[in-house]
Formats: sequence, structure tokens, C-alpha cells
Amino acid sequence: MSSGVMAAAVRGKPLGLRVRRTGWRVIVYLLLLILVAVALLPLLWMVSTSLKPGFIEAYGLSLLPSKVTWSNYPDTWNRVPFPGPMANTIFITALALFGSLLSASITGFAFARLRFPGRNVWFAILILTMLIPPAIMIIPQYLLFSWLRWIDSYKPLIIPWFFGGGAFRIFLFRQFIKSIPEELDQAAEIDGCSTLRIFGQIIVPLMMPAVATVAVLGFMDYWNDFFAPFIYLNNVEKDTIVLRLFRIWSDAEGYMREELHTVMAGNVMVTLPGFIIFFIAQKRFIQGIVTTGIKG
Amino acid sequence: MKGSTRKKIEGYLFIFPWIIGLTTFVLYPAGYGLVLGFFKFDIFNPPQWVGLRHFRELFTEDPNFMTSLSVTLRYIVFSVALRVGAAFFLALLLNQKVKGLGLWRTLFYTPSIVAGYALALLWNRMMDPQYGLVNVVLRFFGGPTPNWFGSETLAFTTITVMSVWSVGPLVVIFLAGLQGIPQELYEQAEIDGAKMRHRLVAVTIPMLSPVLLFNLVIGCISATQLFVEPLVMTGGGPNNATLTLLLYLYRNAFLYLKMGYAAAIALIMFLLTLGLTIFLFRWSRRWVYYAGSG
Repeated sequence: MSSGVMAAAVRGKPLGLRVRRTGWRVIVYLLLLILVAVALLPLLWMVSTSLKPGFIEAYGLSLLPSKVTWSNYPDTWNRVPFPGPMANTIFITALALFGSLLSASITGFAFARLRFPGRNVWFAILILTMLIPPAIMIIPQYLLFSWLRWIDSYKPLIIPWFFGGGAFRIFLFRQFIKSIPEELDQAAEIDGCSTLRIFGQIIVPLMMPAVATVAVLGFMDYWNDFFAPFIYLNNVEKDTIVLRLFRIWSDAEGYMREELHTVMAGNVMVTLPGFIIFFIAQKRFIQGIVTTGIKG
Repeated sequence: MKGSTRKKIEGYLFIFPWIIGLTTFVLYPAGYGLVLGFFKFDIFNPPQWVGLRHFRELFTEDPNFMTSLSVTLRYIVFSVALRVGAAFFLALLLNQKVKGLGLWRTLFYTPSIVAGYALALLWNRMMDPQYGLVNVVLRFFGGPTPNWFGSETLAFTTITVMSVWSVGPLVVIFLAGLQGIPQELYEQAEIDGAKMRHRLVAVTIPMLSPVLLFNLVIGCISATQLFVEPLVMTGGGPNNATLTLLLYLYRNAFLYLKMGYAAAIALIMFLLTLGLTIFLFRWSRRWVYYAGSG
């Protein structure tokens, strides 16, 4: 303490200020702890309820299961049943993600590196499309897809992503590629590399951080998407996992909907991939949100 | 010369897939969406021009629409104010040179990973009058155990307050903005004898105002699209107290097959978003400070 006082005195700061700062820091940490508890409580409740041995206990107050019942998970997995819808969701997410990464990176590359007449106009259009409220497009897109006979197939959920991959993502790739030194592709060009090879062999290996960012944010979007599958898919065979859970839990006759531990086990399994990816690729994730401002 | 011509064509080749997607999946639907509201269209018969009839009907003969408009407007105002306020406060706290910033940020972001349907379902069960955590705790302490989705005011308030829980992205954006404020400004203010709240008003808020504007705009646009929460938690009820514009649009388009009528609602949502954005940008001229531009 005395050395602290000394240091404060040496730096010319009055002792009172320092004490007040310590008090302030205690308040800050206390507030943070309380708020973190509030933020995490629903998650803890979700996980603990999913591990309780039956619905009677699941309805109770205790945050700790009297017996940790892992079997709720395979139970829920089999009864929903998860495998079909899970495979569908993985299929859609993988293809949509692949399409949007491919398409957005190529388009972003063109905007960052290639000089063509009208580039600035096209880029302005790209930025403007980010501002179009999606509501205005819902019905016309539905009519378009039904005219194409794409309803009740995965095509509306996948194919559009191969044609641009989303304005925000193009923008993110463009910004990132712009930050790669241009001397690299100029040297390759002098060596006679085609533009496609420059993209494939020089830019692609260097843009991996942007790929990771877009992939992580995109995964969350496709995996959790509710509205598009809800509108475009009718056949239960084609359900995504989120859509399947919605159908089961909102069915008033459904016998499982009152089994809180089952419902929560399902919810944990649906959100788990997102959590795993978030904790692995946190840095990319946070960076992506800062860069594009979109929600995960 | 030859090379540069090739390059020009090449640029278009690279953006060609995007141009196809842009025209087919964005510009065409957006343009169609702007006019479809003036037609009567039930999918089975060709669209029929009805002029402004849908809009007249919406505003004079359809109490459900007026309710959904009011619900959505109130939700935008309250949820955006709550979320932006809470996120700003949290970011300020995290910016107090706390130890383990990365860990705190992760912890506050974690709830936001639960999204869409899973989020709505979790809160639906959390607030369940019989066995939801909130009422179980209240009952334990002998407090009142209201039916959170039972009355009009409570149902709306529950959905609005709940939206604060997934405030993580806003916190991250605010925090990045706060960390971008040059430290010298604070030191200078401190030398000038500015107290903490003065530093907040004189340094933090002006320097952060572009980020604040950004968060307000994004927040308003996403609040306009509220759908899955009321669908799952209340079904739009009770007595339409949580019927949002998008939910009402969905019903008209996909349950009643009134595509033209639903498109008219979409057009109003479009104008609402546009109006809000323009309003925020104009209003922000009074308080947004762009460093370097005076």
C-alpha cells in the first residue's frame, strides 16, 4: 500500500483520487459479476434442466440435477427423431456456406483488384442493396421460387448463395483483399499468371482469415435460419432440425412438449454446434461482427 | 492495349454471377415488391389492379393491421432504447481497463449464440407460468407468479425485455468503438480537471456517436423484422398484443393467400424502415461527431 501511495505521490496524483479509483474498480467488478450471472442464468438453466431425471424435477427450483441424466440426450435424439433433420440441416448449411464463400470471395476480389469500367457504380449498387429491407422481397421471392417450382425443395435455401453470396460478405472480402499487398499479384502477373491463377494461388491462401470470419458468421445464419425453411419447406421429410423442433414443440397434442427436460435437451443439441464454433473461432467471430456490424 | 481490354472483360466475368444474383434474387423481387401491393393476387388467378384499395382497407377497415403497426412501432422504440442503452452501459463497464477483458466479453456474448427459434423456445419455457424458472423462483420467495404471456401488457413487455438478453453483438461493436478513442483525449480532459461524467459527455459520447448511430440504424431495421419470438412465444396474442407487422404479413400471404394485400403491408414496412433510417440520419446531424471533419 505504502509503495502505491509513494508511486501515486511520485506521479503527482493526490491520494484521494487513488482511493476513489479503487472503490470504483470494486463497483465495476461487482456490477460485471452480477450482470454476467444474469446473462448466463438462462443458459445454465437450459443445460441443468436438460440433465434432470424427469419432468417433475425439471419443474423444480434446484439448479443442480439430483442425478445427472445424460440419457436424456440419446432419448430426445431418438424420439424427435434427430438424424433425418440433422442430416438435412448439415446438407443445407454446407452447400449454402460453400456457395457463399466461393461467390462472395470471387466478387470481393474483383471489386478489390480488377479495374473495369463501371466498377464504382456496381460497388455503389452493392452497398445500396445492403439497405433494402428484406420484408419487401419476401413475397416476390416466394412467387419467383414457386414459378421455378423450387418450393418444397432446398433450392431456395442454397442456389441464391452461389450468385453473390450476400452483400455484407462481398464487402468483407473486398476490404480484406484490399489489405493484401498488391505487389504480390503484380509480380505474379509479370510472370504470366492468369487472373484466375492469381486469385487461386496468391489471394486465396492469404485471405483465409476472412474466409474463417465469413464461414463462422455464415454458419450461424444458415444453421439457425427459421423463416426461409418455414416458408419454403412443407414436407416433414425435408425438415431442418429447427423446423422439426418447432413442429413438435408447438403441437398442442404432442405428448413430448410438456417434458421440459426433453425440450431442453433438444435445445442444447440444436445450439451446441454454434457454441463449439464460437468458442473455437471466437477471435474471427468478434472481428467479423466489428467489421460488418451484422448480428451473429 | 490488348491486355487491358482483356482485363476489362475479365472484371465483368468475375462479378457476373453476382450480377445475375443481384438482378434475379434482389432487384427483381424488390421492384416487384414495390408494385404488388397495388394488385389483388391470390396465386391462382392473375394479378388484378386495385389501385390504393389495399392501403385504404389497411388503414380504415383492418383493426388487426393497425394493432400490428402499433405493436411494431412500440417494439422498435422500447427494444432499441433498452438494447442500445444496455449495450452502451456494458461496453462502458468493460472499457474500465478490467482484467481479463477477453473473457468478460466472451461471457457477455455467449447468450447471443442462442438464436432464432432456440432463443424463443428457451424464453418461452423460462417464462412459463407453471414451471418456468422465473415463476418457480418467485413462488419460492412467496411472490406473485403472473402469467407472463397472459395479459396484453405483460406479453408485450416480456418479449421486449427479453430482447435485451442477446445484446452481445451491440456490446462488441460499442467496445471496438470505445477502444478506438485516442487515450490522449482522456488525459487532456483529466488535466483540464474534467470529472468522470464530464469526460463521458465531452469525450466518450461525441467520439462514439458514429457507432451509436450505426447501432441505432441496425437495431431499428432488425426490430422491424420481429417474427419468430411472437410466433413461438405467444402466437401473436393475447388479443393481438404481440402481433407484429411481419407476423401479420405472413398470415395474409401464406395462410389466407392474400398476396397483394400482404405485399401492401410489406410496402408499408419498407417505407417505415426507410423513414426511420432517414429520420435517424437527419436527427444524427445534431449529435454525431465525425473526427477530422470539424
